[in-house]
Amino acid sequence: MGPYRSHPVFPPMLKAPSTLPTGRAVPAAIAKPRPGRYWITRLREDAFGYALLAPALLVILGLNLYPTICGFLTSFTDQSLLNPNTWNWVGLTNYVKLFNDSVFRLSFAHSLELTFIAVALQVILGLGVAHLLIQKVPGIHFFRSVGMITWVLPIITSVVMFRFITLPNAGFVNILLRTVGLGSFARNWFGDPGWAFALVLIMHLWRNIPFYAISFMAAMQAIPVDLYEAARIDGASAWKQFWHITLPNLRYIMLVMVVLHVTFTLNNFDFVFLSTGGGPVNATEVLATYIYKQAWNGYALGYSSAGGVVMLLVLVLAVFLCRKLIGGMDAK
Amino acid sequence: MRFPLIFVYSSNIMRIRFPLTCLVAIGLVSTAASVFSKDIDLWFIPMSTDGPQKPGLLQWAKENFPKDLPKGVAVANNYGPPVYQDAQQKFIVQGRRGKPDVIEGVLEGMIAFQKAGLIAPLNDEFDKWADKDQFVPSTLKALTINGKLYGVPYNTNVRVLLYRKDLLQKYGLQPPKTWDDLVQAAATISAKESGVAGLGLTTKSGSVRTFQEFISFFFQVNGGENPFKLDEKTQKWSVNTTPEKLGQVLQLYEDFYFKGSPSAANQNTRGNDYQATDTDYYSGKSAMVPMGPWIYANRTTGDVARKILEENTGVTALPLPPGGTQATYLEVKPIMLNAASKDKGNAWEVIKTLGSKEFVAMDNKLEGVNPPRKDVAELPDFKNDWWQQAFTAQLPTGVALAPVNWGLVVNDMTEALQKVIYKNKSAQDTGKELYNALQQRVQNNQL
Repeated sequence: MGPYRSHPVFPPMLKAPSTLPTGRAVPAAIAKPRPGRYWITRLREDAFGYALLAPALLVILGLNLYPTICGFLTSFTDQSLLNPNTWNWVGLTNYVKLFNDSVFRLSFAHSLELTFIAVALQVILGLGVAHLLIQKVPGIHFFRSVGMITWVLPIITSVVMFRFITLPNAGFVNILLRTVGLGSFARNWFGDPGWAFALVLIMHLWRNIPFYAISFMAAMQAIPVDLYEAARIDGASAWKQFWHITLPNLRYIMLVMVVLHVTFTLNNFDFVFLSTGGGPVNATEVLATYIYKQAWNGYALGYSSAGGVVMLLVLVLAVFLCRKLIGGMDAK
Repeated sequence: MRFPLIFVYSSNIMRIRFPLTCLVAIGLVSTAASVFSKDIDLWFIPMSTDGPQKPGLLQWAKENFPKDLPKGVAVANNYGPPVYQDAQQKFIVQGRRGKPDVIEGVLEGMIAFQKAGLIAPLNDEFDKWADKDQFVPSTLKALTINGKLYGVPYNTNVRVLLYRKDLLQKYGLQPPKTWDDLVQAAATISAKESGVAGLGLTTKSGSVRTFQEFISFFFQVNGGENPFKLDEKTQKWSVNTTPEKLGQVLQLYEDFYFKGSPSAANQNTRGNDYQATDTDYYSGKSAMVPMGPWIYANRTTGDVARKILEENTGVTALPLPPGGTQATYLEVKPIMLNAASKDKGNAWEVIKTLGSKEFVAMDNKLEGVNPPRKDVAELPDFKNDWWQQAFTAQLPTGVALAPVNWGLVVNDMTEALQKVIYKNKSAQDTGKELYNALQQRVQNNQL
């Protein structure tokens, strides 16, 4: 029961006191409330709240829950995008086919790998950059503003830029390598199975690290300076100050950033599809591109929905684990 | 006289509310107008106002639609999404609602629309059209499925081999006629001309050009036939090739990248997208390239490109394998009629306008592609243009794709090709694997 409530009677689970703090007896009407009155009053109050929430709830249910349920049901059918009105229930066939497909298993592994490495590096490097950005040096405001450019740029622009600078003949990176005598390292970076995945990862880091840094920096500025002063007086080293003061105070923003970016990275389609198309030889295929190809190249709506359901379950699990992990810091 | 405060307050609110009300009203009226509009909704990707449309096309539409269409019929003027893939996906999802009435697209898209029952056959209207005999039969055949015509062609082209005349002459080479000639000539140029690869190819996953180049070489090995064949009696598709033939094409790709030192094609360009393939050729980084006519438009990008494309480029048919058939990928762009259109009569009038001699001539000249109309091909702009003539000469060797769902087959072929050029597997083993994958597509009814 929240403190904002002012119910006229005590809820049934609490026993009413028999005397008031002044020592006088509690009036009979309060001490023995009529049965059910609590719930009627509560319902009356809550109904107004639910009425206010209803439009937003309806929109959320209509736009999120309904398609999710439809997608889940479709995953048990052989529905095709070309003939959506003719379909049969196929039970778990799509899921069995999915896990028997080596490209799906590879995409699954790539998605997890990319998400884990990208988010972990974004947090670590974001903290490092935040530490630099919080310093009071001339011109730091300029860097704080400029840093966000990578995050504001549309993904297509970022990918086209990366593709141009890594072109085998006309790309800046290869021209630079040849100029400094390292021509043997020049290559079509996105077309090299050994480098394509790393480049997709680099694009994620390039885009997101400044956003992490600015968010962490904002949270760092809210930490009371007294804590650091007290720690210094007690002889705490810079590392201990960071570990025992900065990090615990960043846990909420960290939770938000990690949950957001686990979702973003695991769901991300644009970076891979636009830069490599999932190749070379499936080296960068991730769940999102695999599902897209099944839906739009094979028009297999049921099969691709099964892939979507697997992706949803992985996401829910990943977000749950993140909450546990970062929430655990609070308990410590 | 002073107004009570409440009036001042209300007049302030009115100041904000009035323009807001006007905006909402305008929004409602325009939405209602678009819903109840009698305009023909046309999706014509090169005209799309959401993308880098060609100004000449829009200007033509603006001037000629009001003139050519029956009185009271107008065309909605945003022309749909700017990308074929995007338009195709949207049409599959919303086409059954009747909008757009007319859609322009690519052959692979038309096949999908036909399978989905989204487009109407045009035989009745087409047969009554006075211009029907002006269309090149092979382009009409490409748009015919089960004896029914599903689109009017307005734009066509084939893949040929472009070569640098100056470089071949410099090293005493002839334009290649066979696959072996091609590999050897390209390897010679790679070895002797610093900074130039003998051959440029597109091999990126998901790039439609990767498939178009592969299938062009495949058609030559497969007697100019598609990899799938329809049994007329059972109306079932079967695989119409062998693991050996697929292996032969894959072996060609292996030779391009690994035969000779240096090889015909630069290994560092594996995974190139079509933009890189085009840029490499007209910037002088590659000496030969399988290509369509559109690259000629790049001659205006600079002096190097102009000199290469206008003065130093030769055009020849794609080289042949031993015992092969002269064949190549034929691209035909159709204009289609939505089967659910509520105004099919006027929609057909729009199709006729877009298939007219005037429009086809203007569009084909602007895009640098070949005319599917005989009367347009006879115009001086086309007849006296060496580039147009070089490509038009190869049109009879063009093979249109069979009416199957190519989406997953394209993935299979690209993956097989990449396995070979990245040395994951031998060409012959990959040929067998690809053959099995195609068989699977047939057995699983995925075509």
